[in-house]
Amino acid sequence: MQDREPSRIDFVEEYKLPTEICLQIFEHLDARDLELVRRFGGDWANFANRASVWRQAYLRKYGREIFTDPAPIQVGGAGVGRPDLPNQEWEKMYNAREELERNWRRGPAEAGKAIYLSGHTDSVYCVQFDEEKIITGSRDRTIRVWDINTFQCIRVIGGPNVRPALGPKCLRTVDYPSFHLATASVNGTNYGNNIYHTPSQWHDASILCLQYDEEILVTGSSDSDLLVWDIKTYEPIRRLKRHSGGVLDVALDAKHIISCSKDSKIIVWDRKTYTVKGELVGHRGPVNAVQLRGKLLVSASGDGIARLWDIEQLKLVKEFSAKERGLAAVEFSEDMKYVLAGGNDHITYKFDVETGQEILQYTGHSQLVRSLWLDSASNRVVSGSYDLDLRVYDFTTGEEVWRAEEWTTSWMLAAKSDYRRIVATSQDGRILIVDFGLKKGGTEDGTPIDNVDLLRGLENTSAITFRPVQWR
Amino acid sequence: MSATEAEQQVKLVSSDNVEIITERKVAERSMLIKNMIEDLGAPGEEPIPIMNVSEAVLRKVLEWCSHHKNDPAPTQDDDADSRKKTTDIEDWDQKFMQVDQEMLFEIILAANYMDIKALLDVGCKTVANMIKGKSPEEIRKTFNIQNDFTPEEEEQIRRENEWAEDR
Repeated sequence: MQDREPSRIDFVEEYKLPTEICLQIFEHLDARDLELVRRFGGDWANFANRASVWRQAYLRKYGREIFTDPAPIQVGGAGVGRPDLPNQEWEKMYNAREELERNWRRGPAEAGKAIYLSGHTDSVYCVQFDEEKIITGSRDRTIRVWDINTFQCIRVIGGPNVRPALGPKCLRTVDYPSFHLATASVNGTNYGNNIYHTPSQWHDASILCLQYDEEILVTGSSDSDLLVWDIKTYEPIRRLKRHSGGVLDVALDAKHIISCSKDSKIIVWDRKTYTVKGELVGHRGPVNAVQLRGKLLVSASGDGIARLWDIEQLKLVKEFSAKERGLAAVEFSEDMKYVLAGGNDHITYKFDVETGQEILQYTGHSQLVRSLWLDSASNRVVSGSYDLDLRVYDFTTGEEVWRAEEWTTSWMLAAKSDYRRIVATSQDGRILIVDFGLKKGGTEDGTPIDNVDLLRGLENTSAITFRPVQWR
Repeated sequence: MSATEAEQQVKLVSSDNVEIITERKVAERSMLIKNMIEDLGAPGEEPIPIMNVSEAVLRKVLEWCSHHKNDPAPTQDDDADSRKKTTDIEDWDQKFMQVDQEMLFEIILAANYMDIKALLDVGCKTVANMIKGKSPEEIRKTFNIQNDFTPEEEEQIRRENEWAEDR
């Protein structure tokens, strides 16, 4: 017995470990492994085809990990379909997601369909979206709500004196095959007048920033105030007055609302009572951007410094190496290990939070980096710049994977992204959606990637279905 | 469980009728044993039968329990999804799992029977790591997987797998 060969046992077909144990083993395998072992046939194939096994392979690769309590707000879709439902087609979803990820790296000639939404009559400063809607705020003193699936403007909120007349006129779009769709403005039409709503309170100046979750929308304005709105009815709940200059950015989670301002201050508000919990003072210039992760907050200022704060103890934790020129945008990875900051020197810097050191640069823009967005789950950074371009980078390597050059006619002011799209806003008054879930060029131009709609978190949407051109 | 309770000796009996005496704290890594002791009261007097596990495997399992006796107790709502995030295995466990396949599968079965989730998990990860990133030939050899493929089918599978790896 002692010099026998080491045992080699087919635990699936010969040793016959119980099904639940086999599945537990298979749930550790990646898609590549599953595609291999299913070739062995029999129960190898049976187990490698199970939805529970593909579910794990999918979530391991594309699931979002939550590191903070409260969790950061979810912008856009999570791209994992509806994990609460049994019988999701996880393998199809996996293949759709892989194709989608390849699309993000195919370059602007082959991927990224442009959709333009018109209606705002001046610069659009801020945006957030989910799988039903887009909300934007503008220098035209209105907030607009758009259906992200039909691309229709469904609500305009503003004071009595800023209701738009006809226009604005159509602006240049990017050329075929980049271009997909442009919706006309409904301003001044019957429909346009019907969706215009003047609530009991409004901002009497530019809407500079906004953020929302399932309950509330918070907007900040050049009028130095914040307004808290009911996200279901778009009726104002509370006006927050404390800043002495325009409110430049806002961040919220289940416990806090954080605002930052031209007055160089950051204010921590209690989300439930709307009272001031404290002020974070230290920046020597306007605070242009904040990002919140649990009890930690990062801020970027015109004074060229990105700062990390503890909002419970209301104290400065760290400063990230000062730049000679001002910072306009900041981001904070969801695991809280990295901070991104970009601004006047056209470069986005990546800092290691632990050491405080700069560890990477994201380069390419030739003007101020006005907005930054980090999709931690997808490992992507999107930046918008005064050079009119959007750039998409691999968060880890810093490699530029995609870019839109001059797809709008003026400065890019805000941009956010999720698993399949970028939603950006411009000084030219338009919203630009870049959809990577649609095929680009050829006979199937504009049709969705196979099964990409399985990744959507909502079952029924009003999505326009695109039909391929019929060739006879 | 008080300190004295933890140090109590309990008597286990393997499927091949061998008595093994161990610390209660070690034995109670197994939820099966923990529940039995709670049901029986007076531990140490009545031997506890571990019906499906032979002496050799039981000793091996208890070796693992002994090393991990101070780990935090497993919780009911232990998130199954988060455990599957990674197939990393700590060094000691990796060494522990360097046994022949027969023993490996018996440990897995014993962990399942004795309800030791963490050990079952390490076992499953160990098997998964014998598959992950390997070629079909390697996997087939590792587990002595029989197949009735013709050479043409083999060639086709090889080509398709090249494509699969390339994606």
